[in-house]
Amino acid sequence: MYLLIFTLKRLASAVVVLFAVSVLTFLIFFAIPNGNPALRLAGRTATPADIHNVEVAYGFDKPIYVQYERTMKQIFTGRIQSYTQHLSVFSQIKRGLPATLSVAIGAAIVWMLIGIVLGVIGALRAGKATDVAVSTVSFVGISAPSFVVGFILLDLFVYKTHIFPQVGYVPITQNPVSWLTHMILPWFSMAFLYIGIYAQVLRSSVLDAVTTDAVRTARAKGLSPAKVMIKHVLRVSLIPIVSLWGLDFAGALAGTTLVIEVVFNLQGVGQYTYNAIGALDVPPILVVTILGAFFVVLMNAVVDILYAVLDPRIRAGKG
Amino acid sequence: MVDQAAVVSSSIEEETTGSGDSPLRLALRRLRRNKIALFFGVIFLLVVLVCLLAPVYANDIAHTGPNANHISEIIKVNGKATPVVNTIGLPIGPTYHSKFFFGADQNGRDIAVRLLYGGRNSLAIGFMATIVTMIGALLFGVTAGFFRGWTDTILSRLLDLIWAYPALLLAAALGVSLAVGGVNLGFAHLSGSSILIPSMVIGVVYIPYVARPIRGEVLTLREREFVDAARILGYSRVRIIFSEILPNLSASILPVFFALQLAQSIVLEAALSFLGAGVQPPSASWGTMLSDGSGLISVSPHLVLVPGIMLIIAALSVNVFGDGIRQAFDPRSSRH
Amino acid sequence: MTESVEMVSFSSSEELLRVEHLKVDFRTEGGVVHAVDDVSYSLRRGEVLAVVGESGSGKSVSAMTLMGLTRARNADISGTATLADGTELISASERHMQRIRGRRIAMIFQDPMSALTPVYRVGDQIAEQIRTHEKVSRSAARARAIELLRRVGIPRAAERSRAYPHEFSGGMRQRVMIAMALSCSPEILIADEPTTALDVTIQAQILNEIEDLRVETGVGVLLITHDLGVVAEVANRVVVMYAGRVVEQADLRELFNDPMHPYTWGLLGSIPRIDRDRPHRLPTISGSPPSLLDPPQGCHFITRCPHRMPKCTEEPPLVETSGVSGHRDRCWIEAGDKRRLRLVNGSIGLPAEIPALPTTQESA
Repeated sequence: MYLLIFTLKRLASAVVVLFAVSVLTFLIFFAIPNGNPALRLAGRTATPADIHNVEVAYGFDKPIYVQYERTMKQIFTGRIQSYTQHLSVFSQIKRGLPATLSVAIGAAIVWMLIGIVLGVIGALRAGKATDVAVSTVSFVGISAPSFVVGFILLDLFVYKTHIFPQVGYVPITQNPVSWLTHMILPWFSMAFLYIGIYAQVLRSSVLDAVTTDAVRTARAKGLSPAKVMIKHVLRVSLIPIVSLWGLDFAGALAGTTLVIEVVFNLQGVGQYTYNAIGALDVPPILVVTILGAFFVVLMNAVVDILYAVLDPRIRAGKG
Repeated sequence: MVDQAAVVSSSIEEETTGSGDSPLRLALRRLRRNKIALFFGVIFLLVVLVCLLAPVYANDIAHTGPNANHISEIIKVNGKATPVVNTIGLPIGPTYHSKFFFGADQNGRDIAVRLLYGGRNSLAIGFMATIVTMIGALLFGVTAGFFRGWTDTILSRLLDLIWAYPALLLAAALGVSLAVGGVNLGFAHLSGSSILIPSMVIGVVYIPYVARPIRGEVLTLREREFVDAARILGYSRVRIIFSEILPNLSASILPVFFALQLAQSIVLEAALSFLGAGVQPPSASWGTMLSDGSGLISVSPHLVLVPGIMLIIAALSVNVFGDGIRQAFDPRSSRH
Repeated sequence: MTESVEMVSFSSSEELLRVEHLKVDFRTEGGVVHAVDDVSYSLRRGEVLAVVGESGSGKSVSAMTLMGLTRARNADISGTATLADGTELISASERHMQRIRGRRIAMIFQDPMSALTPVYRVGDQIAEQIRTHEKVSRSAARARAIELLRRVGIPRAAERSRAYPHEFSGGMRQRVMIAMALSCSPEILIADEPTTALDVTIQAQILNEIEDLRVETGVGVLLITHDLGVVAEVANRVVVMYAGRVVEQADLRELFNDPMHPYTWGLLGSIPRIDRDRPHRLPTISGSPPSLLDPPQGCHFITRCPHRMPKCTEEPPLVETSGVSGHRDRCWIEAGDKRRLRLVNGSIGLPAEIPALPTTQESA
């Protein structure tokens, strides 16, 4: 019962933020004082006819809230199109989605698993050589931008040694094995950054949990060390990690995939956005930005709800 | 497992500290003892120094500029005469000599020279962005944390809004929007290719990440006794902020955040410029060099590896030094 | 004014646990911490043995060592702790200890608010302990858990066993802990300051609970506390610890009527009494406990003892001085002198000033 109320409240506040996001994104593209917005929207290769169409569709002669309304209508009816390419933005996004999802979801799973394992090892071997090694890896991880890591891995494993196949994306429906071999390097490039962070966070979390009274009680009950670690330490210290993971996943999907797709030529939504940026083609960037932020806000809500599911104290309003 | 014994021993250790030094001096002393952090701090200084000396390198060692095009030249490498860019468009790799130390790019430009000049931009943007972030975060964070109530609600909601956007995406959106025509600030017009634009963009994007912890810290500091004491003495609220809150922030979290944000900003600038939404041509930065070289990675990896590794070195050294600062101010925060 | 000394005996005084010369050192960056220094005591079936002392006296560490919970790379543990059937705890393997913990020896701790894992239901946590040591089905274990909750006085036990720890008050949570501890019918229950974190009224309830269960099951209780009031309520025998050592041990009545160690006099003297005139100040023991890193040479109480003499720089042995068997103390002062010196203003206590060494007191 508590859970239901909590969920509804959370979703309601998410909707408010979504609205605010749409307004802000609109302002970013249309309210910055620097020239003719129609020109900007129509792109560098626009013809006068294009510019006129833009002006009509978006209503640049009208007051700003009409412009906002028109823009949102364009987006949410799916009619918005890129004037440079003369293609519907949403159709292009749909084409690129499988690749983007493959990279993001795969990387998220990889970094979560490896991060947890390294974190636990770091905690168990706190202060010893393995711990120091894990810490070093994590520092390099947060210092190396994922696309640089991607390039390095590309150079080493594709061009210098041919262990992995040439870049590109192979749909899983076409050839699962090939899909996998093409995904491994992008996954690790993306995951490297987060593995470091998660290993550190989990290590701290575990070290804290291990000294709590609850764990002492569990040991006094005669549970084996493995049971104590899994059932009482990890089950509790993973809760904040799960919520962190949800947010990072959203951020990665809507942000990091941009660069990784370019490095590995995956032709996903990220690369589509990259091309649009290069051409200063505004409509795709506008749509992707709004969708990206939307996704983050939604994940935020999902994560909060998940937290309540995992931690009974939150449901009751305490904790 | 260690639990009980560790708890006993650490509680005993805590009882044996206690000296008369200010937190700042204690922290400096701890930092001085942290050899690893100092080592990396020096590395970062070297990077900055070398980039600052770009003109010196360009004039006296490489004898060329960052945009000078040597595409059709032939130079001597290991005694053999080699074209800088060969017939199928492949540039030479690192020669490890004064000319073309790190090789050339497709346009015949000296990578090493570009690296240093580009570094100036990357580092400058990194620093300026960090300053923007810190000022913005302080404004938002201190105001929200100190005054609470409606002020806090509104400011926090605003921060949440910015925070909702993935950093790279927001920065790219802003970068693109501003790159086309620059921006009219009322008192000045910044052209689309000014490096102040990526600095501001990156700076603004990161404000929520720092403002929230600052707000949290201010909320705690507010309840401390010395703030009550100042209030009783009749200090105005503004004065309390400047005489009690800010100094404590500077001693605890500001230096750490500055260092960490510097690393983040340098990295974001690279990604942004790589996408084309940051530094605009003809200016260079490590990010643009990565973008330029990405097409030829299969045959001329040095184009990408050189700026890439430089980027990692810069970010890593700041990060490690920043962590050293964090440990110096709060020894128990990371290592158990 | 002395009261007659009573002999306390048990009909079935089977020894459940014998601790001999237990020593626990922790190697830390600051040096070696001598947490427990040559401690010996024994626990009999159906009795409550109270281990009394202030923080840092080593009482908790010695108890946790019995459970093997202080084993660590920087801990040096020696001595023996033997159960009735000959099982030796200090040298037992970790695997063996896992079988003993929760089944033959159970322990409850001080702060019930944080002692239970917050994400599992209370009944499930009790069932977990049962299923760790016995081959029973999940439903059978759950049923037993409900029964146990009922026995410790939790109303609507079946419903409450599905609740989470944060839904219980402090006193109720401690009852849950007791239920859980007794779930596998252990021989020994170690209770480490079980009432310290609770309100006074709840304290009484919990102590009664422990007392009832002791009578019902014959479990031997090792009660660790700093509160002499609690000791007087439930203990049969008492061990007084100071700075890692046993300084006095005796039957309850013996200890209160005929205490033989200055530290005990200080403890007894500092209890507020409503049946006496209020003193100008509540007598305390001046000074503070010594550092366990670098304890004083000889008797550990020497830094705070008003009756100290040059001989005290030599460590006193734990011997019988009162004439009653089983009543031992660690002090050089002669029995006769003790009985005289311990009276301050007509009641047992310690004088406020501590003379410098050497003092005018001399052993006869």
